[in-house]
Amino acid sequence: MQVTVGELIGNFILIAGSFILLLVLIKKFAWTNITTIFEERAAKIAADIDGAESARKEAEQLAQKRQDELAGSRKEATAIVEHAKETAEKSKHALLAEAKEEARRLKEKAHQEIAQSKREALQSVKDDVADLTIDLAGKIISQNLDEASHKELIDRYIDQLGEA
Amino acid sequence: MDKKSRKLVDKYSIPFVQLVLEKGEEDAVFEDLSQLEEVFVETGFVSFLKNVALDDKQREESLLRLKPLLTPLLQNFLEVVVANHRTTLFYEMLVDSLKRLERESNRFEVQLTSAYPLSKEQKQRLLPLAEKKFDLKVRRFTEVIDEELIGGFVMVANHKTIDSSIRQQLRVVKGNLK
Repeated sequence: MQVTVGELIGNFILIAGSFILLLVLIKKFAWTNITTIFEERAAKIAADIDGAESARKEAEQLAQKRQDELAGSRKEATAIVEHAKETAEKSKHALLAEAKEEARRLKEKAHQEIAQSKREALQSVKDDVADLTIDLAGKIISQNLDEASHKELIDRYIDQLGEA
Repeated sequence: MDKKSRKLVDKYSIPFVQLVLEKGEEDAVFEDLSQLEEVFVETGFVSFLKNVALDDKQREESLLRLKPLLTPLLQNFLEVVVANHRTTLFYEMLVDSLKRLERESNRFEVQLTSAYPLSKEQKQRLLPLAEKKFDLKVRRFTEVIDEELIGGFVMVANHKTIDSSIRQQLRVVKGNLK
């Protein structure tokens, strides 16, 4: 089939006119809505982007804050450990000093007890010697003292009593 | 002795001693009391008086047998004790009366302990010394022989002691050595 120029132009004008009519109709009836929709969508997307941005910033801030706090906790823990080490060191020195003092005191006490035991032993020996000496003296005197000597002794004691 | 018995003994002995001092019969009563005390102890008469198996009559009869041997004052005392049925406490009354009489009259028995018996002359020499040192009158000496004194003598009277024995001197030396 052959198409004439007039048909072509006619088709063209029809199609163009339809297209233009479509554009006019779209412009009149739908363009506002479509643009509104696009604008809304754009606004929403912008808002979402802004929200995401602010959320990101917030997250960054929180992360930073967490980092800071973590660093602070680490620092505090380190300080606690240091303090505990110092305390332990001091306690160690104090305990050592106390143990040394206790050892010195026990040693001194032992020396004193030994000295005391020695003194008591010497005193006991002295007492025993005194007892034996006196007992022996008593026995010797008793053996040597007969009735006549005793009479003389009594007379002497009576004289002494009289003079006292 | 319980308090009740003590009071009873005092009730009898105090007036008796006062009466003896009033009458001036200390010498005779001293003699009787001392002898009675010795006899009671040596013969075990004290236990006899304390024996709860005996009745009062047996005790009283036994005591009254001593009456003729005693001075009048002591006889009266005995009669009073027997009449009041206090024979179980008679020995305590006797001892208490003797002690009271000694204190009231300041006349005491002096116990003389020595390793060997002292001669009469020595006792006579000791008598004034004892009276001076103890500040009392010597009623009599009672001698005790104790060889553990080794030598010398010990005089005891009215809770006071004069120890002139070798044993005591050795004790002093022992104390000084220690």
